[in-house]
This record gives sequence, C-alpha cells and structure tokens, in this order.
Amino acid sequence: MAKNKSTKKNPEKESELIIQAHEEVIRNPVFPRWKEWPIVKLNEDREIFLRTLNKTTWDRILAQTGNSEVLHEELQKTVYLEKIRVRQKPWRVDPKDEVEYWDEIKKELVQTPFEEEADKLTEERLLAKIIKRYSNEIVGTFDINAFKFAQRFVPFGFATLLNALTFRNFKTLYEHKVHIQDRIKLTGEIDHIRELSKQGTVIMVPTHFSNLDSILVGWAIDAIGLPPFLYGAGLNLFNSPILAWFMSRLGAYKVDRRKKNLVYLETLKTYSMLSIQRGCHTLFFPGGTRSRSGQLEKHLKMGLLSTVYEAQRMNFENYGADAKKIFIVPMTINYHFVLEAPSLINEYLKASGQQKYLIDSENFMNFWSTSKFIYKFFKTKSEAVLRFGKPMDIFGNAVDDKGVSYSKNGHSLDISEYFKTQGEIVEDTQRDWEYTKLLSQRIVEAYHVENVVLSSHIIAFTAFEMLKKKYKRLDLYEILRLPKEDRGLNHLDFIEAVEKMVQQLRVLYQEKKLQLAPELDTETHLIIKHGLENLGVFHNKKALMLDKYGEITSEDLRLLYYYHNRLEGYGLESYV
Amino acid sequence: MDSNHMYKNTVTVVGAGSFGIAIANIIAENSPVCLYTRNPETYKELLAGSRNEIKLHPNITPSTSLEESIESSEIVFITIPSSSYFDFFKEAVSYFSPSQLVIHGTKGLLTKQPIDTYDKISKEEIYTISDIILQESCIIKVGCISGPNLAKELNERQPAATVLASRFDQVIKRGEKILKTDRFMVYNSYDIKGIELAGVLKNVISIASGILTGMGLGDNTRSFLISRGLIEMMNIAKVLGAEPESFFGVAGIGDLIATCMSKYSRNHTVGFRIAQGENIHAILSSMREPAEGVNTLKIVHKISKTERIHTPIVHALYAILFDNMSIEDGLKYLMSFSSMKDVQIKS
Repeated sequence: MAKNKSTKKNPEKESELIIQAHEEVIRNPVFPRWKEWPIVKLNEDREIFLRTLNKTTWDRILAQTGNSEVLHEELQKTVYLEKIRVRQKPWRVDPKDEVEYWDEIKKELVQTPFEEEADKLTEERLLAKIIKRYSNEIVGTFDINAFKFAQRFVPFGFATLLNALTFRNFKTLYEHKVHIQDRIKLTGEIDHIRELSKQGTVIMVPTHFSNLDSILVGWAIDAIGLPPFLYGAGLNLFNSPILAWFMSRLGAYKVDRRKKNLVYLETLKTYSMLSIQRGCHTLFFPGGTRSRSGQLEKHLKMGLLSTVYEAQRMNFENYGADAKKIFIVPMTINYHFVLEAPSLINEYLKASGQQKYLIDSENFMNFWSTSKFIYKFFKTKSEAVLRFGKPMDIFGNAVDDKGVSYSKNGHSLDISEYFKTQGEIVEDTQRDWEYTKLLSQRIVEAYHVENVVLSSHIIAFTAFEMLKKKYKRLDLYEILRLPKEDRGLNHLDFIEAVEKMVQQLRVLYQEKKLQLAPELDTETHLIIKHGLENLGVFHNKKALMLDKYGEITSEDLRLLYYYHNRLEGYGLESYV
Repeated sequence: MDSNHMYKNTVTVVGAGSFGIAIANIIAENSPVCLYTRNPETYKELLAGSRNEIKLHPNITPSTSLEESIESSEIVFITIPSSSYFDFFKEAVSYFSPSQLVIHGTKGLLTKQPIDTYDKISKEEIYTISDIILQESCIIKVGCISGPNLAKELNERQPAATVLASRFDQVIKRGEKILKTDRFMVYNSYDIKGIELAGVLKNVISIASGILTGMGLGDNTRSFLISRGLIEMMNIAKVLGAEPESFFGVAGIGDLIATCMSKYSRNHTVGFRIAQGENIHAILSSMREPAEGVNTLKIVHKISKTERIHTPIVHALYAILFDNMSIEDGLKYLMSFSSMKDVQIKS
C-alpha cells in the first residue's frame, strides 16, 4: 500500500507531524485472518461468556451487599427505579414485556418481606434473574458479513458523497476519485499501536466533541489495519432499525444511560472487565458525553476506566508477570467545524451560568439525521485530524513495541509489582481506585499533548482573548452579549496578535506540549486566511470574519467562545 | 530489581540527620530498621551506637550501600533535605520497585530551576516532595508525615503526635503500624498535598516569629502573627490544590504553634538574627543545615503575585529579607490595611 507519493514541499520541516499523503496511512490488516480477531472469538464463545458474566456479576454484587438485608434493599431500589423508567421514558428498543416483568419481580419481592436469613434464596434468585436480563441486553454479537459490508460501505458511502458533492457530473465523478482520507487525516503512533495490538489489549480513549466521532474513529481503526474494537453504544441509537441492525452485528455493546441502578451498572462494568481480560480491544469515550464547552476534557468518568485494573490484575494472577498487558491509547479528534457547536455551547452556558445540573439531552440520532450530518460535514469540505496518541500502560508509563513498560528514567518496569504487597498480588479496590484517578490524570495530560492545533483554533482563541482584554471590566456573559458594533478588532492588531500566538505555540510544540497542523507552517496572514475559511464554516452565523470595513468581527460570539475554548489550559492568555 | 524479589522484614530510613535518627528510633520499637547514610564518618558513629549524643535503638542497622538499603525493605522512609531529592533519585531510581511504599518526612517545596531564575511562576511549576517522588521514580504509593515533631524533643522521648497522609489506605495502615508507639500518636489524612503544605508553609511564618522574638515583642504580636499567618497559609494551599481543613489539625495549627514558640528551629533562628541586624546572605552561609523556610518564602512570594493571593505577611517578610525594608516599616505595612473580614478563605 505504501506507494509513497513523496510530494511534500518541505520534507524535513515540522510537517512530519501530519502525514500528508494518504497512501502512507492506510495499512494492511494486522491480523489478515478474521477468525483470529478477539471479537470473533468472543462471539463464538458467546453463551459461555454470558454465563461467566452472569456468575461473576452475581458474586460481585453479593460481595458488595454483604448481608441479605442490604441486598433486599438494593433490589427494591432497582425495581422502584426501573418502574419509574418504564413509565416515564419508554423507548422503542425496550422489550415489550417491561411492565409485566418488573411487576412480577416486585410481587415476588413484596410477597417475601425481609426476615433474617429466611428468604435469602429468593433474593439471590431474583438477583440472578435481573442480571441475566441485563447481560442479554448489553452483550452484542459480531457478524463478519455485516462487518465486511460496513467496511466497504462506509468508505464507499463517504467517497460517493464526497465525489457527488465535489463534482457535478457522472463522468468526472469516476475520473477524479476523492478519498475519505483527504478529508480525515490520520496521524500519530500508528505503527506502534499496530505492534501493540499483537502484544495485548488496546483501549482507545478519544476526546469527544461530536456525534461524528464514533463513525470516524471506527473508520480510522479499520484504516490503520486494526481488528474491530468493542464499542459501547448508547441504547438510544438502537431505536433506529437500520442502525440497530448494523451496530448489533458489529460488536457494539449497549449502554443504557437511563438505568442507574447498582445491578445494571455492575453488570456493565463486569462485562467491560471480562472482555478486556479476554483481550478484546475496546473503545470508549472517557469524557462520557460530548464536551459542551469546546474545551478538552478535564474530568473523566472513571467507572469503566477502573475495570482495566481488575482485568490486568487477574491476568497477572492467572499467567504471571508475562501475562498479556493492557495498553491505553489516548486519541484526539480535531475539527475546524463541529456541527453541534451552537447547541453544545448553549447548554454549557446555561448550566454554568445557572449552576444547575446538566442533564444530557438524549439525541435521538436516527439513520437519516446521521446521514444528513455526514453529508453536511463533507459538503463543507471540512477537514478533521485524528491523532493516535502515545500508548501507555495502565499506570501511565511509556511502552515499547513489545509492550515492555519503561519509567521516565528509561528503566524497564515489571508492572505486576504495582499489585503486590509482600510479594503477593493482592486485591485492593481502594488502591485501584487511586490508580484510576492517576490514569485519568495521565489521559487528560495526554489530550493536551496530542491536541493538534488547527489554524481555526488559533484565530478563534486570539480574537476572543483580544475581546476579553479590550473589555477587561466585563465578565464572560457580558462579553458574549456585546452588540455587533462593539465586536470589531483592528485587522493589523489582529495579525500582530496571531503572529505572537503562533510563535508561542511553536515554543510549546518544541517543548512537546502540543501538536501543530501542517497549515501552520506558513506566514501569519496565510494562517489567518486558512483559519477564516475553515472556522465553523457551515454555521449560519460566522464565528469570525473580515467585514466590509476591514475589521475582524464575529456574528456569533458564543460560537467564537466555543472554538476558542479548545486552546484553554496552555496558559496562552498572557500572550495576547 | 527482579520481579520475584523478597523483602526483608525491615523498614529503611534514608538520611541520618537529627530527624532521620529520631524517626528511626521510633520505628525501631516496632520493626527492624535499616538506616542509610552516604557519609562514611556518620556511618562510623552510627556503628558505634550513637550520633550527636543520641543513642541508637539496637534494632537499627546502619548501612552505606544505597542499593542494599533500598532493595531490602518494602517500606522506605525518606528524611533527606528537599534540595537533595533530585540527586537522590538520579542515583537511587533503579533500585526502587513499584510494589514499594515510600513515606517522606521532608518539609520543603521544589522548583525545577533555582527559584531566583524565575521571572514569574505558575502553580504547575511548584512541586511538593510527593510530586517529585511520583515524577522521578516508579513509586505511586506515596505518603508523608508532618506535624510538630522537633527532632530534639522526639529524641528526648517526649510525647508527640504526627499526621500520616496518603491517598492509599495501604500506606496509612502499614505506616501507622510501624510509627505508632506509646509516646508517638499518629493521625491520618487523605489530603497528602494539604499535609505537606502545612508543614512547608509554616516555615515562612516561623521566620517572622523569629523576628518578633529578636525584637523583644510579646504574646499579642505573636498570636496576631500565628493566626493571620494561618489564614495566609490556607489561602496559598488552596490555590496549590490542598484542602484548607487540613490546616486545623496537628500538622497545621499544631506544627505552626510549635515552630513559632520554639527557639530550636532553624527558620526561627534566621528571623532572630535578622532582627539582630544581620544580613540574610551572611546568615545563610553560616548555617550548617539549610533553613527550608527561606527558599519557600521566595516561592510563595512569587506565586502570591501570579495568583493574586492576599498575603501581606509574606510580602512584608520578603521585603525585609531581600528588599532592605526595615522591620519597623514591615510592621507598619501590616497595620496599613483597612479593616477587613477576619476569616476568608479564597474560593
């Protein structure tokens, strides 16, 4: 595949960070025989796996609840929450017998009011029953034919869209093929990650900014030749029959955010833990939901992340220090344009302004709205850069191609030691929870280091900071409400400020604190031009533009703020 | 270290200064101790059974082999001065294993470059000792002890208390087991940063207290200093990521009172000699062991500026030590503010 169309203008320049020619990126599969894929093996063992999952979850819950009085209460709580959910938020994907099912469980619970030890069996039987129902819902299947179809269809669909949008008639459509890779640039530690996927289990943890993320990441994983990843998809997506058909055959497991009871959450975590332990590569968005503010994630959800420790510890227990390891791969997805930006930033401002709890509005993404979304993305000729970050072990240490861990001082490490006390591997949830916190810090740091700064981010950041400086006395909300005539910035001042910003960004790049897109490898006015052409291009109102009086201004300050936020956290404010 | 390494039933204490010996003597009541020193002279004294007239517990075995000392014990206790940490880990890093627990008793703040080279400093550039241990080694299970633990009194076997802080239950449990004796009480905390900062920041106030002593000022002034100093410490600590509550305990107010009252502390001595009209550089070059408070003062002074923390005592003290402000003017400065709320912790 590597034809190496060496057309780079400055081969030795900073541009090594972004691979320009797409031929260099598309890779052959790491495992050509699909029967070797962990996800296929998991599917073959599905029945046995389900039984293990049920039993393990059961054990874990009983260990947590301790005596049967607590268990009785937990079950009551579960039934109570589930009955509310069934009544208040029914979805098409829900089983038809929901009402009867929970009525039945409730009846059995009530009929056997709690007495010391007397009816322990009833509770344990009911627990097993509920776990079984949940696990059947969560665990997906994998169908190689559906996968192969999707594998061809997704790029084909993208490509057709691209061509149809770019060229008007059929003849040119097939003469000038536009590739998906021209729009979505893949970069980062691709070969390293391919090697690691042979050595152990890869957990991909991308930033989350758009509904487009999961499709792009799915495509990217396939494009660099990795076998398919397990991926937790919101149950709401399964409301659409077409998406449901695909997703349930592509190894997606279902996550229902409505269900917050202990039994469900424990089943989900145990599923994640057992599949990782089996070596299934997994993708999850540790931020939980899309970033509302446009900032890189600062706080991660640690529930699923914490399952890697139990999986890794059990592997060490079973196979010794040479057991297969788990590798964490942070990934950044970098857009000039996020279609949902207006609604995301509004939700963010509403929540932070009024201190009220942010309820994630369920986006009922059906097939058509997804397609429309993709269509818009490509029609705007918008680009995205996906960067595969530096892989690390679950303690944040660097790893080599063979998966050996190294401390910062370059000494090799036996990470099974992290689980040991007095020479023995010991289970300790409090310890592992602290390790999880540390890992989530490492991932957040990695997001900042692997963040690819685009021209549009720079101009948005600089412009908004200039406004903040100009109106020092106003708070954020007052600035966002500035009338049109007060938003203008002198063009020359702006160029000067961007120039300074780019200089500082280059310093940070040299210090390995962030990445730079290749479009920045030019003069300031060209960077600004590129940025203005790309920043949030498809929004109805321009986040930033050069108006007819030659001033830099914004038609929508909230959007400007949103794109500006991407460069928060680098201390760049003082350079404006 | 190979992976099937077995530890001896010992605790290693690194550093045989007066505090190191005091801690080693306490631990020795619960467990065999390996006491490391790199100084051959000190080693000889330790072998003979005492140093600076302090007797060593028979459970203590001195050593000059860093490799052996680190590799022999699962729990390593570090008591070296903060300025030695970078060099120490450069030398010792390969002897540590991820399974080990490291507890330190050093009260200092660190920066990557000497603090005088910074124009301004951000909170990310200031490290506590546990930050350094995490950064420079493979150790994650870190803890610290901090409290009114003047070595001299500990060595006289007087009753005392300390706070053992770690985010890991395991460190707290095992640390307590080796430290607690019938005259040494151990409290615990998850807020390791807060407990470290409590021990560090009080050194600054201790210098100011030394000045008051040197000026012959009385209890009113000293209490004024202690209480307002505590508020400044809490505000700084909050900005650096600690929980201000930690300052109400043994390691906070407890240690602050001890150092402000005691004449034994090196920081107090610095302040006292300043009040006698000596120059800070002359004082520092005449001292055998470093006064951590002086470096901390420089760091805290810079961060207060960047983060706009209201710290009049720190500013006045800095000006007296380094900008030729007279002590009288420093005191006037503290009195020059318009009346304000007593307790207000920066949110």
